[in-house]
Amino acid sequence: MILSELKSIIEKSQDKLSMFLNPELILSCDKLTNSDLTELITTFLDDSQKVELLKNEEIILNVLGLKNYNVSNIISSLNNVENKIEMLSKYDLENYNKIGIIRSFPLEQKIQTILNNTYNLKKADLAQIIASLSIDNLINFVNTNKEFLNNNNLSIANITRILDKKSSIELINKLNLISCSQLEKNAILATLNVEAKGKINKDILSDEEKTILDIKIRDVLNKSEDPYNDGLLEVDLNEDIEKFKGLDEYIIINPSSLSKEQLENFHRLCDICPNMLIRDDLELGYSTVEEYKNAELWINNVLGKITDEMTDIQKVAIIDNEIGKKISYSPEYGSEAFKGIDARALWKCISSGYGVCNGIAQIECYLLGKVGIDAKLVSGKHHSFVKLNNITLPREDGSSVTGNTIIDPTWNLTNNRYGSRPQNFCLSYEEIRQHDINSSGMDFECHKNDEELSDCTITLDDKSLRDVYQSIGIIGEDRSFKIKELIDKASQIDNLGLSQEEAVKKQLEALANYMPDFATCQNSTMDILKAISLSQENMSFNRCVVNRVYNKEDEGKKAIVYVFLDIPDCGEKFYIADAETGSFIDTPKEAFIQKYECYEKDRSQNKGVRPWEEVSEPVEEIEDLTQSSGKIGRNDGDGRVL
Amino acid sequence: MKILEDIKKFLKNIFNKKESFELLDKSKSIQEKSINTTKSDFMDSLRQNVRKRKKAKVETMVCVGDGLGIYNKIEY
Repeated sequence: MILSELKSIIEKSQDKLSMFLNPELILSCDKLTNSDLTELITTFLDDSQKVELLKNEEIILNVLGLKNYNVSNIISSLNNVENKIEMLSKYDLENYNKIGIIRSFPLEQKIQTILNNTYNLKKADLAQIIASLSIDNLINFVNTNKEFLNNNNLSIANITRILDKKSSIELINKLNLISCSQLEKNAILATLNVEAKGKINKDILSDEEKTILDIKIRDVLNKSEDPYNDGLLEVDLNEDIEKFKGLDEYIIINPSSLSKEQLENFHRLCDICPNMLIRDDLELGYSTVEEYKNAELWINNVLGKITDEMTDIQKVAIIDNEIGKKISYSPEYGSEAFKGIDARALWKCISSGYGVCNGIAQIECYLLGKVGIDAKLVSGKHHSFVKLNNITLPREDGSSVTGNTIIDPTWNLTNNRYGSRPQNFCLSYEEIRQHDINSSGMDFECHKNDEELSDCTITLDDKSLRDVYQSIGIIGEDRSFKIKELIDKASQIDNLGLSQEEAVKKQLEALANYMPDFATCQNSTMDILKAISLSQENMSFNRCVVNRVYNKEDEGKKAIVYVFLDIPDCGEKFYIADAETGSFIDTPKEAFIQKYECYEKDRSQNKGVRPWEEVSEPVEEIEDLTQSSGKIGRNDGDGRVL
Repeated sequence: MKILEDIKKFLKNIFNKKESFELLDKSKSIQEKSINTTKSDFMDSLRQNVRKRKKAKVETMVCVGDGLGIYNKIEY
């Protein structure tokens, strides 16, 4: 049966509702889409029949297989607003589906719904509903509900920018009826529907207003950006930028690749529009003007350490080292508290001091680009880093080699922060791939990208790496990296013959003394605790966990490093990395459990069990002296038989 | 009497030559077996009585972003 035949059958039916409640016949129709089904329901059923059908959620969602937007269309088609409200509460609809229904409300109910914000809608959602009012009602609404608009941070232009061409032209003809400031009028004109801009009678506008009206709207049709940002203004930094005053909210600009003159104008624009947003080439988040200014100060300071006489590899080493000392890996990554949009915006990362791999790799590329080094952000499996093209590296024998190599600024963070030898600095593809394999032999494929990286064939050898780091003053005459101090100190403590508990305390104190910022570079601190402080020869625990928790009273759920130990003949110990006191605080178990909590993801990965809830059995093994230095058996090659 | 005993001893020596060789042979085998048994017992005695606490590994989270828990080489 085809659709037209089905329509004919439904039309002639005496009991149309039953056909939908028992939809075998309807569902037997060839190529019946959800849109067809929605049309059949809205066309052939009256209000009471639609309500009856909508009350059968099982039939609507599971038997007929309709989606939320189909349900939204059916509810919108109801004539009775009470029925609409009832059905709105019955279905768990997304905001954008709710908006469609509320836009279909009669005037009075629509305004009440907006003013009460009955459905907890966001600013942009409210603007969509207000924009569905007739122009006269819209003007009346904005004139009489200033407080509501302020409370919801809604400007008039937030609403008028989404009007269609016809409504926009009508609005401008009645612009003088809107009770608002000149800056607000400018915002309305600047953000007006792009088609309407060309059709407005400019005679009714002042010269200033005409200039504002001429501001172009960015063509974002082919870009996968937030749909609510489609009214963003195009800023030409070669023109007069004073006209953008008051239009901060509608400007998002990328200053990554500007000429010197454009950059000067951009800096002026930062003062004119201090609340505009700044995007970068990665386009995965925005930075504020304040963050941009803070970050640029730091960038200029780093670039100030680089001279024209330096070789490229010296410049790379300085930049990689400075990034490692400034930025820490976002310790909340992967948890419910992690805000991805904050961890990848170039200037925001620098300003906050936290970022994740592609954000940090972007910073490295940006700085390297500033000193003329060809660097490209490359991704492996769930990880991003930097490919250096056509760079010249010194070799151990005094010669040099030019080619492509890999640098991973994020995997170097711990090395640079704690002053150990950078392990991911100028490696060939083959070598950096070896770092993807953990001690159990599992390959995480973090740097796997055969297509883009197989031509990365050169490596900076250890001697040359130390030459470079010595030449820029990061290591001294002894050619050792600073971490030696901590490694030596840890070893000394380990040999003091202290009890396990005392030894741990001393190790944690030594780490805190060595790195006063240990509590705020959480992931790097975990790395060092694991590699040095808690892995000494004479240490012996039943259990040793180094991980993250958050303070239950902290709404932002900021990550805090903790150490949980089950020490033989001593019991369970908890140490919290405290930024305020700059120490690891020995915390009784009860107090720790009361104050701190694991992130949901960390718990779910461990089958809902917190590390300290697991029973840790003392782990013992039989030492077989026949296999140790006291062996009595003869192996091949041994010269004697007992 | 003494002569008779000497003759008996002489004959016995001749008669027992082969037996004496076999006994030596047997004796060597037993000796080796005995050495092996002693060695095995000694090794077993070492195995069963010496216990040592195993070093627990430091447990951390794994993060592909910065290599935490994957690649952890710190050197100076």
